[in-house]
Amino acid sequence: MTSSPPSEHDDDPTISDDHSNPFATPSTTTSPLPATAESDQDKYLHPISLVFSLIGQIKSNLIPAIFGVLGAANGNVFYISLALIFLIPSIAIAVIRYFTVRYRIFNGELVVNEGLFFRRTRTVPVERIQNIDLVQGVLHRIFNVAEVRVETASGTKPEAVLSVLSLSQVQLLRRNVFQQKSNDLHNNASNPATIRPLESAASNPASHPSYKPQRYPSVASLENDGAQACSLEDSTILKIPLSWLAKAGFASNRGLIMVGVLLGLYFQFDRRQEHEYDFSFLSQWLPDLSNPFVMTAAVIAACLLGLLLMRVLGVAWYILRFFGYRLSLSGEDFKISCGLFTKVSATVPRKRIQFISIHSNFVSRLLGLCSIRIETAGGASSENESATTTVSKRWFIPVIPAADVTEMIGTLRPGLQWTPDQYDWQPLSPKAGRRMVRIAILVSLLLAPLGYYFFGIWGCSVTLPALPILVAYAVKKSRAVKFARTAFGVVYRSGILTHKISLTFYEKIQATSITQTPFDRRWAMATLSVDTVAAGPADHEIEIKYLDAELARSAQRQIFQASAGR
Amino acid sequence: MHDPTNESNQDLSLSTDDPLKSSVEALPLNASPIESADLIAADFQPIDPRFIPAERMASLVLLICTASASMVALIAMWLTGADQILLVLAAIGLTLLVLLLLWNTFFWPPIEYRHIFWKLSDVGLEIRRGVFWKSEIAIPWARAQHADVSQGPIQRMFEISSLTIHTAGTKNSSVAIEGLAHEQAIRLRDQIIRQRKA
Repeated sequence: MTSSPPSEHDDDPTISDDHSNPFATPSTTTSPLPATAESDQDKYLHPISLVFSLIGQIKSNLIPAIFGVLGAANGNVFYISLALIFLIPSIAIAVIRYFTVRYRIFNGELVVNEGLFFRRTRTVPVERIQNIDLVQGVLHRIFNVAEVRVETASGTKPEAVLSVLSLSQVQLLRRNVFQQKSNDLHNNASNPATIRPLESAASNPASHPSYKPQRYPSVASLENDGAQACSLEDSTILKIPLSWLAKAGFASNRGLIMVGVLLGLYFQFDRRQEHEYDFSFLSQWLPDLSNPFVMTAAVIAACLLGLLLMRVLGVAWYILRFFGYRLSLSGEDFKISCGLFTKVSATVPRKRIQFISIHSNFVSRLLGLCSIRIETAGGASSENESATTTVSKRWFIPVIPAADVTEMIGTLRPGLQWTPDQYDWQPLSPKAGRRMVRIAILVSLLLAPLGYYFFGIWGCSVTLPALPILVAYAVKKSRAVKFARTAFGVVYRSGILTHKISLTFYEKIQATSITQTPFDRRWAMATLSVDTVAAGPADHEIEIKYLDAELARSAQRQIFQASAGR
Repeated sequence: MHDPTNESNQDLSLSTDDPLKSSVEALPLNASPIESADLIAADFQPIDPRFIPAERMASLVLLICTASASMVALIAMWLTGADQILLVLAAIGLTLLVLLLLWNTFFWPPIEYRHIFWKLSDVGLEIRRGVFWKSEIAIPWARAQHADVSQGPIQRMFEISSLTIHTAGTKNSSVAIEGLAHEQAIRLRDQIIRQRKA
């Protein structure tokens, strides 16, 4: 009962119990399989993982390590000991890790043993494994190895991380896992009684008017020949040419973040080491700055140079990360691979897509581009975000022409007619603008004492430019936020400069809620929120403030009923 | 599996001034997936009234601890010969704190009680609560992953317990109703588990 065939729409990770509980005992229907001879034995990581483990250890203590090494180079005993304190345990941990981590596939489960003193055995039933994702950095590629992340739908991080395995080991692991999975599919197909009627009703897109039969016949091959399951042919959906990436990088503010990071690093080191850098040698190349015209020209030139640098950095980031981006569909799984140096390949099962979000900022709208982000069940957490999650969740499709979005969403969710112009958009409460303007006025008035504190009496004048800007922003913002209930789910749009439109589906909605603060009650408003699995990575949670209370209440009621499948 | 609470609930008048409450219509109850029909109600029901004494007891413990701690602190200050003004200020501050806790002990629990409601329908579970900051959460049956019943020592004295329902969601991944009659909470939990297996 745990994983039904993909052709049935009841295998929704958000509502079926097999994904919800990481500690659940393996399903009783797991049949003992004709396990291949090699999968019975314990297998170790690739020997080169010693090196990667050490690098990882040092990376996580990067700042102390750098200080230690820099200080040690000067022969300072304190720093040498500091360096040793970080280095020796790192080496020890790397060695212990290499000799204690073992994995095998046994009796339908992936068993990972680790630990020297505190032994830990992690058992992941194979039919619950959703993804086997790979990350390959430059070093990984040189040694022909990869970091393997085994993901299930549960939890906020990969169920097991095997760092690192050789590519042939990965192949073997994949083959074993998917062979096992497809065998389970056979078992399920012969046992239709395991399909839960209520849930299949709740999650069955057929109950929605927009449902259309699937166009992708490749599922059939999964059922026909389980052994071939891992070698399904991919059909490429999207390849991103370099020119798009360059445009997207130009439009993005990514460079600003990178400049910030660089500046932060610079000040960090500058302060702590108390070095006096002598920049006076630079003055011989500079023109005479005492001349006001030259000075103005120099400032303008510096600003332009800075802007250019920012854009170039943005382009560089996009190209580094998404070079050779390819999105393909294999069976019911989307596969992404991209990266110039660190190559990432990730798998996103179509049914795990909870949330689709289309973002476009001001510049990218001028260029006719936007990006599509998704949220999937499991593996999403901003704290320990890995390269695979970054790509598969935060940047599912980093750049796509705005004209192709409709078609792409139809591919992500077969049968969905993406016609945002025709939806019944509900605005915020008519009084929302007034309320937001009041807040804006209050904020700009509060800026005055802040300005006074920093710049003296003239600092109070920050209020003058801040007031119209904040008020205009509030008015615009109150008009930009809208939501709509559609045949398939809830659509939410917001943003003035950066437009975001997100959609989620009734069968993925976990809970709906309305909240009212005392202020809300005075204005007869309420906040409507719609909770989905692993919300957050797409950066557009459905939490709509300042809605008219009556509208919010009736909308919540209808969304609740629709999400329960009626 | 008898239900001792429903009778006691009937005579308690629901607070009709609740602004969230007025607009809710009864849901159709056809094809109910819930077996024990007495759990289903067409409208929101209050929690068990024993919630009030239990809350009072818990707050009383806090009150006694705070009061005795402030007494000890004041006496210690007096003995060590602290500044007179400081002593008076501290005494006033601590008295105000104790008065606040006194209010919290005797007057707050009934107010809180009047603002917690739950409703079980064939669609799912709805909980509304909050005196000043109001919230209303609705969870469809199919999204309830599992449910826990928990009971503290004071709750056990009054035979009430908290029911926590977990979903796969993010922000509302667990939703709790405090102050259900224990048997009722157990039956609700069993109901949810049965729902999962059905």
